[in-house]
Amino acid sequence: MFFLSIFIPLISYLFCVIFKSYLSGKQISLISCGLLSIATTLSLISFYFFHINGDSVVLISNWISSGSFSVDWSINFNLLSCSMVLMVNFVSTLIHIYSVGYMNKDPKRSTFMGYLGLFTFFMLLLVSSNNLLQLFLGWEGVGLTSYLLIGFWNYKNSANDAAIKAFVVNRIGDFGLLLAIFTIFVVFGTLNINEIMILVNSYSDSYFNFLGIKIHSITLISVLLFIGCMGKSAQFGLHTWLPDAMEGPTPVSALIHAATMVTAGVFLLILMSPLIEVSEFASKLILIVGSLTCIFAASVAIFQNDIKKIIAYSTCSQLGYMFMAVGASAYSLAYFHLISHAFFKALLFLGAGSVIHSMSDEQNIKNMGGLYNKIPLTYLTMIIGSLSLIGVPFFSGYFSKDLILETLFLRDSELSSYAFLTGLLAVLFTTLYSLRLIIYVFHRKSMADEKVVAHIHESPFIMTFPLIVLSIFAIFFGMFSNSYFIGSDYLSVWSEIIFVDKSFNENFIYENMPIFYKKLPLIIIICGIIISYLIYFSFDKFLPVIKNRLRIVHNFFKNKWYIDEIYKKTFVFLAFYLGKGFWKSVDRDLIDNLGPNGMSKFVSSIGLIVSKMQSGYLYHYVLSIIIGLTLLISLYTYIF
Amino acid sequence: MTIYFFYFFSFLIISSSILVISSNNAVHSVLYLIFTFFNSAILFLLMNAEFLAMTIVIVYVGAIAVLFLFVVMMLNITESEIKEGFLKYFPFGLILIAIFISELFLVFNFQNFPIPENVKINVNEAMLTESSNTKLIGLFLYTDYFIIFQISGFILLLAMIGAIVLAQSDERKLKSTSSINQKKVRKKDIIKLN
Amino acid sequence: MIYIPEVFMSIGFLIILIISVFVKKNQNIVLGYLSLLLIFLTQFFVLKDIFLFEEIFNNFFVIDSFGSFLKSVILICAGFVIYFYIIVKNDSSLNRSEFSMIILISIIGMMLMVSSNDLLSLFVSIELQSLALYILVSFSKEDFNSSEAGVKYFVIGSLSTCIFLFGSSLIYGLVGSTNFSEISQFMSDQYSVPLLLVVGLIFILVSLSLKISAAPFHMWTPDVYQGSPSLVTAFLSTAPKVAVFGVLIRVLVYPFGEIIVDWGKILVILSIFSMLIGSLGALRQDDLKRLMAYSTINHIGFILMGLVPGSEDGITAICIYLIFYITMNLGVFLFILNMKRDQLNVTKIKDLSGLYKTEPLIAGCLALLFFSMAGIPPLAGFISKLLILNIVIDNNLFFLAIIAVITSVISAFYYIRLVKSMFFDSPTEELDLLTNSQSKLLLSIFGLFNLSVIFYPQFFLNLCASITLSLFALR
Repeated sequence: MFFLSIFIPLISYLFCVIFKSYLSGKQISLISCGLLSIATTLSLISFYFFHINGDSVVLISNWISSGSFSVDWSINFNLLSCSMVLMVNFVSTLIHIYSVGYMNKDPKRSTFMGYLGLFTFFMLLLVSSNNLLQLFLGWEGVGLTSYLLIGFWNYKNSANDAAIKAFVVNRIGDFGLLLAIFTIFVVFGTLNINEIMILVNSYSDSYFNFLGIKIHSITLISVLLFIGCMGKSAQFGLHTWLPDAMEGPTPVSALIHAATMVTAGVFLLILMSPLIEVSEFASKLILIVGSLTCIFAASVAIFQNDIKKIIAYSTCSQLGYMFMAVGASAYSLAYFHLISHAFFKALLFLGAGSVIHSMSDEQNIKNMGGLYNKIPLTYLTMIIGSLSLIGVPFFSGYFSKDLILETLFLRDSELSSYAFLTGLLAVLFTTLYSLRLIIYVFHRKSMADEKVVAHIHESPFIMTFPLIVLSIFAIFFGMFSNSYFIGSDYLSVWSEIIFVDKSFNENFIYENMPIFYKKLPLIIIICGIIISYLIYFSFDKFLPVIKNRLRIVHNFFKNKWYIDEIYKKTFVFLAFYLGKGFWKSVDRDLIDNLGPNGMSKFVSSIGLIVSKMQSGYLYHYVLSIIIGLTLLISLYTYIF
Repeated sequence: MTIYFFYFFSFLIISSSILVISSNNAVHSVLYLIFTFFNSAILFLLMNAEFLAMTIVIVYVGAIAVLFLFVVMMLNITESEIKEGFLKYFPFGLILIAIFISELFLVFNFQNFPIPENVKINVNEAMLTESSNTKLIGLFLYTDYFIIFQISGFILLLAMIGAIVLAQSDERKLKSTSSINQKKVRKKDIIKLN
Repeated sequence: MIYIPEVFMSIGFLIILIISVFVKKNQNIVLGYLSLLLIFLTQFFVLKDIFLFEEIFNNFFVIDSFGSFLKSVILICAGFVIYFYIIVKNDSSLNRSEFSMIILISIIGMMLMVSSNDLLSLFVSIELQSLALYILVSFSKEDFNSSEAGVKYFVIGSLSTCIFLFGSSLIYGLVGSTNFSEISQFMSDQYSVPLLLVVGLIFILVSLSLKISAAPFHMWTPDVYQGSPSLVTAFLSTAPKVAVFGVLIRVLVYPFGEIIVDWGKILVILSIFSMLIGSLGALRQDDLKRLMAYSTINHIGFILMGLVPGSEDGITAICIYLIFYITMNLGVFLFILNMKRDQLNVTKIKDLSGLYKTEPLIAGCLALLFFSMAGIPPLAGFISKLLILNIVIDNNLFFLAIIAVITSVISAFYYIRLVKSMFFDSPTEELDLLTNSQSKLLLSIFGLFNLSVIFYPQFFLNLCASITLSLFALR
């Protein structure tokens, strides 16, 4: 059952590719939606009956077996993979359904559905893998499909550039992951995750000798893993591809760049949590990078004008929260936030897609406004998504985010206190940009053209249906499931799979924290709501004035801390310069002339000589035979 | 005494062989060839192998060489013109031959032939017991060596089939044009009439 | 004794020869089917006694599994060639009753060759098969090239015979016997190996190299391959090579196994020359058959390399290489046989261009075969090359391995050029190709075989290893 729920998306892909030219786009889309819903149902069933089977590994076949190196095709069936598969399948199904409406006019829609299916399959392969190599296959697979989907509208140059950027930046992270896998094999001698988990403690003191420097092997592995995750989860430094990736169709952004693929990094860290727990340095590093990303992305999001980019930076920031949770050893909370984030962020993206759809592909929020009564359903769902994102009490985001913040507070180390403060600041920023988006899009006076305004309409039911489902989850998910992720009830279940800090997993610890700090996020949210109401709605006339006064600060944030520019000036420029130099002087002049070209000319001229030797005269042939015979004999008599 | 005869006739064989390939007149070449065969027959005679000697004379001289002679005469090749490159290749050939022969000398000097002990057919012994080597050859050929004899028979059969295949002309004597030949005609071969 | 495959085959041949007299002129196909039947039955007799060891005919011949295996391979080659003859009726000059007769008799020669246990019987059987091949090469009387090739092949073959006889006479003079087991006995009794014996062996080696067209004794190959009818070339490049390799292995390993140091060096020289000339010579060719000749030379060099250590593994690898080489070659020649434009046989490389557009399946299979020849993984050619290289490196012959790899790269160039021409060049004129579905099917089978071997290489390894064992158990 579980096995099928993983492979049905692949079948969907193959179906779409094979029958692309035989069936109409509509039929293909419907069938792939149907297949995905079957997959979701199957994964739901296997999740529901999880406690009957318990943890198990489904071995499909042997993959590579070479000496002591042996890797199988296998599927890990435990709570983590099972719930993740359910989440991925569920979100993917909704997005499949949404795409039927969204991509209605696109001529390549069946290919699009196929790519979505393929992506889902790779993602499921990633989360259900029992060994790191298979995981890496899934990891690269989602990278590939992400590339294909970002550049799906390949007639747009910007889409191609964004796709290439995403791919290249991800490669940097993948390189880290690959090195981590190599190191794991060198240290542990296996790539099987369960075996690694067993072996971790016995290797906690092993050192790795590299160029005479002794490195704690597990720290090295953890850091390398984290670099891999940074690339995929768009953490500070390697985040630049995520905002650009918004060039892809909106369902893609919702599926890949909000709900599933970008969380793969967090997922991997959760999966390898016993390993990371051994290395204190890695935890600290993750905490620092996580909080930096969180505050950075939130601050940048305030100054963006593209509706999708705002949400993209918001994703980045929320991922930062997850990494902070990982850094604070609260892995189950990170996972909790991962899932609840998947719901409300997918909701936000799909809502944004609906807005864009109704505004005839307009993405700049400055050109929108006054939409609240024209597209009421979208408005409502966007409000729900934003409230959940902000962390207003009793929405999903509230439960997961506040728990993370509280954990950070309760950790009595200097670093986590800073992280706590950063997190609070990020909450303020989150409130600001979310409300800014809502106000600009829905409430202010309409700035759009007459033509566009006349054309505004609510999206068809096939697009609003996923919105409704997702908003139900965005409201209620946290409420009903927070007890699964925290507290002693499920301690034993989680501790079998991931690392759980036993001392921290008691409800009373959270209940006994000072009430002021417990309510602090809420106070900040209320402040944020008031501030944003004031600046963006009531006193928006003063905004340009403030902008002019604080031009430098404004530009700093507007230009995303100049990260892209710095990269362009340093790495890209350097790479281009070096590349050009090597290409011109070394490759074309030196290597080509001496190497391939020169060599092939040389070989070809010898070939001509050999062919010329073939004169066609019999006596030449006979002569050659006699010469050969004589030479062999003389070699023998005189030399050997 | 025999050894001097051997060297004498061997010398004759070599020189007449050279004459075979160097003479201008094809008829002369065939005659030199016959002379070579005769000399080799004499070599066999020197070793008391009179049956082989007679066979060589009958088969080679009597049948093959005469056939050659007929062919050459029928084809009416008088003076051949193949000597153009002779001087060009001669020095090189000479060096090659010199090397080859010197090697052979070296090899043969290096080694004196032992009298083999475990020979299948001990010729000397057979000579003592049996009076005629013709009888001996027959004896061996039809008993121990019969399979070789059989395979040789197959070779002759094959030679016959081959000769028929290569010599038999097609029965296409009708005055029809071959489509293949028509296709093969190229533009430059065509005679222009105007 | 009638159950000995060669004897059975000879009798069957004579019967078919008699039948051929009564077959009407335009029904030569009947004879083809009969020959196929005979080959099939003989194959049965070969396989029946594949694990038998027996010295027969007064120790002139020996039946062992190595020989039986090679006989079986030769019979398969011949069977395919005769089957091609039946299904592809392109060359009217071959349409004579004698064609399949001569193929049959040459197979008898080859089968006798691989089971010879005596220099004398070896000589006679080589003559039998060579004479048959001379006739086959010059079979097409209308074609001037065919006759020219026949004359060239005949003269070179006669030279080879002379050299062989001279070498054998040296060995006979020294040992006093031509029997392999007695030569082997003589060698093991000897304190130091007489130089004369080695020189005699060199003569024999050169003669056999002429037959397998190892460089520098390869000169006749391109001309003969190009000149002879395509079907004959297909036969020429497969079955005789297997037979001569069988002889080569038997002669070198069994009677002369003691002086492996001496002949090993000669084989190194031969294989280096062959690989170099085979890869370089083909670069500038524009005729497919001529190119296949150089390709053969290159492959021969590769195979010879496996014989250098004279070890069991090496010979196993050679056997596998030979099997795969045959499938590749037969496949390519089956295609060449079917190349026709305006009812005229064409064999130029540029005739291939744009084949993919008209015949995608055929082009795909052909590309597979060419890739396999180039040794691109995971095709059969790759496996065989890998095995040979493995053995060469195991024996610390690194320079040989390096040369082999370099020449493989060079040869990959011209194979891939063919593929490029098929897939990417625009067609000049369409070929009227493969009108019969049997050729298509057969070609796809060859392609598929080359593709699928990667899944069961162990089968061939085990088979050939057990076959080779018999060769070494003899001593």
